[in-house]
Parts: sequence; structure tokens; C-alpha cells
Amino acid sequence: MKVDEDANLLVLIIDTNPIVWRKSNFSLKEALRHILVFINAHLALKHDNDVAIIASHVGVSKFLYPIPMTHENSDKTIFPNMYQKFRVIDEKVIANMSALFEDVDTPNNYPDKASSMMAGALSMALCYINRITKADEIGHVKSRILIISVSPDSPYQYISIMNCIFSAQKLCIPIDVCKVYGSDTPVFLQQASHITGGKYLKLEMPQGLLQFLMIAFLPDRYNKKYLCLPGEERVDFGAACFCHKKIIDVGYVCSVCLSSILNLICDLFSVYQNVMILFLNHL
Amino acid sequence: MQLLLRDKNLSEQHRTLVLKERCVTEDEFWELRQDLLRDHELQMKQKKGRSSVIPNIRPITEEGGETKINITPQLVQEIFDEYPRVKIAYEQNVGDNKPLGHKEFWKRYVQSRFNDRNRTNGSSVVNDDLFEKCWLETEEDINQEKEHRDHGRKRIKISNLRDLSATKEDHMEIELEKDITMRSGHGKILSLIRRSNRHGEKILEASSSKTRISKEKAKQNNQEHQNEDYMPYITIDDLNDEKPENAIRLEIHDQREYFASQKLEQGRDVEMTDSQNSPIDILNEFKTDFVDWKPNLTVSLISDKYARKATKKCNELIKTKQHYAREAIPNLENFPSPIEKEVHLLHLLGNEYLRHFWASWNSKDKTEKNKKMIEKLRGALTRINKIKKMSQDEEALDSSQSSQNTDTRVNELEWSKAITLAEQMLKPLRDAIEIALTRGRSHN
Repeated sequence: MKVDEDANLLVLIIDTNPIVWRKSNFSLKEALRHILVFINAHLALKHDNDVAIIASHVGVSKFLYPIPMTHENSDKTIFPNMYQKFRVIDEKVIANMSALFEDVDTPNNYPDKASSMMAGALSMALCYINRITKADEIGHVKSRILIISVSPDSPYQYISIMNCIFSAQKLCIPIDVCKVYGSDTPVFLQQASHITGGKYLKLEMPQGLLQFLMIAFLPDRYNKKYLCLPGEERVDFGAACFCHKKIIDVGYVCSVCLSSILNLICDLFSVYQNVMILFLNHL
Repeated sequence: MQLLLRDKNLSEQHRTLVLKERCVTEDEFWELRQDLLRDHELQMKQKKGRSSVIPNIRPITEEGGETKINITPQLVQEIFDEYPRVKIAYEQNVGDNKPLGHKEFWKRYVQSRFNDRNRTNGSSVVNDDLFEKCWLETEEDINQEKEHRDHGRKRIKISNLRDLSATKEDHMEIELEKDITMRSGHGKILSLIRRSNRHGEKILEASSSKTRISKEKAKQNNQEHQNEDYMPYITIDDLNDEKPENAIRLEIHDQREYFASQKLEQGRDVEMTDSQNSPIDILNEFKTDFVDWKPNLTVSLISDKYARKATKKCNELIKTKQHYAREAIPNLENFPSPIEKEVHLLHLLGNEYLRHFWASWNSKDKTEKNKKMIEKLRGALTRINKIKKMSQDEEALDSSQSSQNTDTRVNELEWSKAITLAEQMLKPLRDAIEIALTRGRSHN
């Protein structure tokens, strides 16, 4: 299969939790400008390249592009100086983003406002990729997922996110993660990028977002093999006790649910048997 | 004992630990490896079942054109089992007053078409009356078996569930060659299928006693009830109610805490309220902000300063990654053998002691052993530390093959490099021993 015939599909998941964006010094609007330029760059690399954008909001996740428009209300004037595809995508993304923010009540009623619906967005991305791959008979579409995240992990979504990660691993879809703002390490997303063969990058300087995106996340799957890209390699695999969340090096494992606990007096479990294992600290 | 013979690694460990270095006794060694012993025992206990190969005599052509046939009594038994007609023929024709001798019988058997009918190769066969008869009789046997099952009734009982109007389209999955002869049971393929079925039944019967019992039961039932049992064929599983599963539910007291992978910061759990704005305000603000926003992508997005910083940071990350990648693989070509042996030995020793230590960690009756292990661990630790002081000259003096060592002498620089490498190799072991020792101290 010639590489020239590959069409790359980039699925971008943007974390749009307004509360967390407000906390960071970088505004969502600025970030969106950077991201739009990045999308245009990706599309410019090859004629066949395609993109899909999903917004992961508080309690919901929605496609921003592509959405079948029910009625055409965008103006049809053709800008001669701009590549039509860029313009269409940019407009649609912005229009759908403002539509997303229109609805204030659903996010407000959602209890856990600190995090965004990452699991939902990931599942939607995987389903979309699956559909495109099935519809593509020649088998040239190579897809990958890029997550731009600001909010911390939600513990409720642990299992769902893990399931998504494993299915992405099975489908050989790399998940790259760009952490623009966030105080604590997102263990889920780090593990996601590690397992699926993607890169995890935490930005100290959100203002340089575009530069980071261009350097680290623009090359597609084929070119990545030949480039040495920046990314943090050390993933925190340390086992944590399930009740105290302390990293432990010697503990017990329940043979029923495979959860590790520090000692047998942790009152979180009603049924357990004990097997003792040693954890070696990964250095 | 046999285990040691089979597994080279295990035997080497055993030799080193128990015999040479005398660090653990034989019993202690095996105490921790109970599962190996158990597996081995189970393997030895299992008996091989009856072979399922259709018994066939194959002549082996040796050099010189001679063909040799190996006939073991076992093989003979199998052939008699499989083809009772051959047994009858044997009894009739081979014996004291009978025409054929033992060897001759088998020679003719091999050459006859009987033997070769099992193989598709049709060359070098001789038409043999005796065995032709055997063959025809065997075929008759198979074809009549179905009838005999109904205790010799002439009319074959057909199941009421059989579809009499079935045509070729109902059997599309099974494609057999068309039977032109139109004689029941004489088609080549049918008889092949029947023969294989009979063979399979025999093998299964031999291996399990259950089928015999069920067959006897079935015969009894047949005599009692003439009607067929239709229920299994009519019931559709999907229409039956689902039975509740007898599973034990895993009860988790607090779901949130269980699934969180890290400790959440204080006060961050449910509501995230900013000191100034409440969430609804922020949401409204975003809403108004984004209405009719058309970003201008033509203006410069990123200032020079930040772009440079970003690139610099990326380059640094790449550099550290390359550095790690290069340093990770050590060059082991010229690793001097005394150091290697010492590292290997220490590794074995250390791991064995650690195993025993942790095995006797929390159990009440093994505190003595635990303390002994602590001592031994300390000893191992000092030995690890001594590696630094290993010098080449000492080794040369110690070993009696000093003449050979002169060939393998390496210069001082390489020796010291190798020593640092050895220390790195033993670092995880040393860390583990130190953890064990601190635990041991705190426990006591």
C-alpha cells in the first residue's frame, strides 16, 4: 500500500468545560484560534486528509464537525482568497460551539462540574472512526485521536474511559493528549496515550499552544515512525491502594475483584480473600 | 527428583542454592515451590487414552527395496476391534490345522485392497479373495447396523419429526457427491461416513463409561415407550423465561471512592464553585461571549517569545528522551566473567532469601524462620556492597587456572566500568532487600 494514498483522519476532542477554562489564564477563544489554525494545517498536508471535532462539555459531548446541516443558513458567498474547505470547517465549528454554549441549563444541572464528559467524547470518536473505516473500502483511511484537555479526571468515568482506551488499542488508533492547563496529573489520559502508542504532553505555557501542536501533534501516523517527537515517557503506573489512594509497595490483592489494598482492615470491601504480592517501584 | 531432571533452570537453581552455597535447606527450597511439584505430579498421573487413529499397517521401505512391516500385538488387537470380520477371518484361517500361517495372513492383509481402501492411494494392490470378502461383509455390517438397532425389525423406524418433503435445497450445507447407483447404503461416500461414525463411536465409548450407561438406559426406555421424545425439538429457548442467575453480587460500599484512581483534593468533590462567580454565571458569560464570534485567523496568533519558548521546551524533551534511549542499553560484550558469575549468584541468592522472607512474613509460626532470613538478607546486602572492591588481581590469584586468565584479562578501565554496570544491575535487588529489612525491623 503506497503511503501517498493514505488519507488521514484526525479526530479532535476539545475539552470545553467553561469553569475550568475560566480558571486558567488562557481564554478558550484564544485556544480555539490556535486550534483552528492547527486543523487547517492538518487539512493542508494532503488533499484527502479529513477532520472530525467533538466538544467534551460538562455533562454532554457533541460533535462540532461534521454535522449534517438540516437547513442551510450559512452565507454562500465564496471567498476567493481562502481555501473553501478551511472556511467551511472553521465556520461550522464556531457556529456549533456557540450553539453548544447556548444551552445553559443542562450543564448547570449536572452535579460534577469539575470535569468534562471525556468518556462520552471518546466513545463518539471511536464510533465515528469505526464507521469511516467500514465505509472506506480501499482501506486507506488512517485515523488518530487528539485530546486537548484542561479538566481533571472524573472518577465516575474511570471504567468507561478504560474501556474506550482498550478498544482504541485493539483498533490501533493512537490517542495523543495535550494537557493545556491542569494542576494534577491525569492518570487516565497518560495511561491512554501510553497504551495506544500516542504522546502525552503537558504545557507549561498555554500561550505557545499552536507551536506545541504543530511540533508534536501534526505528523500523521506514518511520519511519526521516522521522527523523534517530544512527549513525556514516564507514566505513573504505581499501584495505589483503592481506599486511601496512597501509592503502596507491599499490599494485598482481592482475588475476586483484583483491587489492591494496603491492609486487611480497609473497610471498603465486604468480601475479600488475601494474596500478598510485592510491588516494585518502577524507576 | 524428576522435576529437576526435566527443567534445566530449576536444577541449576537447586544445585547452586542447596548444594553449593548452602543457603537454604532442601525442604525449604521445595516449600516455596509447591505448585511446581503439584503440577508435575498431576502430569505424571494422567494416563493416555486410546489412540483414535484408524489402525493401519504401513510398510516401511528400507534401502535395498525391502519393505518391512511392524506388527505389534497391540496393533493386531486394534485391527480386530475395528474390523470384527477380519478377526473372524483370522480365526477361521490361521491356526494349527488351518491353511494360512500368521505371517502369511498379515502379508496378504497388507497387500490386499482391504488395507489400502483406507488410503486413497490405489497402487500396488493385489486382489485378494479372502479380504475382498471381508470388505464386502464389513460394508454390509455397517449398513445393517441401523436396522439392527431396532432389534431386527425389518421395517426401519423413521422418526416422526423427519421432514418427508425435504429436497436438495434443505441440505445445501452438506454437499455430497450425487449417488448414481440409487441403491441404499452402497454409495461410496455414505459408507465412508458411516465407517468414520462407527469408529468415532467406538473410541468415545472406550474412553467414557457414561455413554455405555446412557445407551443401556436408552435401550430400556425404548422398550418401554414407543413414542419419541419430541420436547427437545419443539421448545424454542428464546421463548422461555430467563432464570435468575445464582451469582454473588460484589458489594462496594462507596462507589465513588472505589473508582477514583487518585486522591481528590479537599473540597473538590462535588461542586466546583469559584469564589467570585457561580457556575451559572460563568456559563451565561460564555454563552454571550460566543454569540456571533468570528475569529480573525489572519492576524498573528502567537508572539515570537512564546513560540521560541515552546520550541525550546520541545527540543529539551526530545533531548532527554534520546539520552535515556541511548543510555538504556548497556554494552555487555566485554563483561568479565568473574563479575558476571558473582552478579548471577548474588541475584539467585538474594531472590531466594527474599522469597522465604516474605513467605514467612505474617504467619505466626514462622517467626524464627523470618528472623533467620533477616540475618541472611543482611549478609547478602554486605556481599552486594563488596562487589565494588572486586579487583582483577584478586581473582587471578584465587583461581587455579591463572594461565587461562591471562588471555581474558581486561584493562583497568573496562574492569571498573564493568563494576559500575554490575552495581546498576544489582540496584533493584539491593532496594528490595533494604525494603525488606526496614519492614523486618519495624515489625519486630
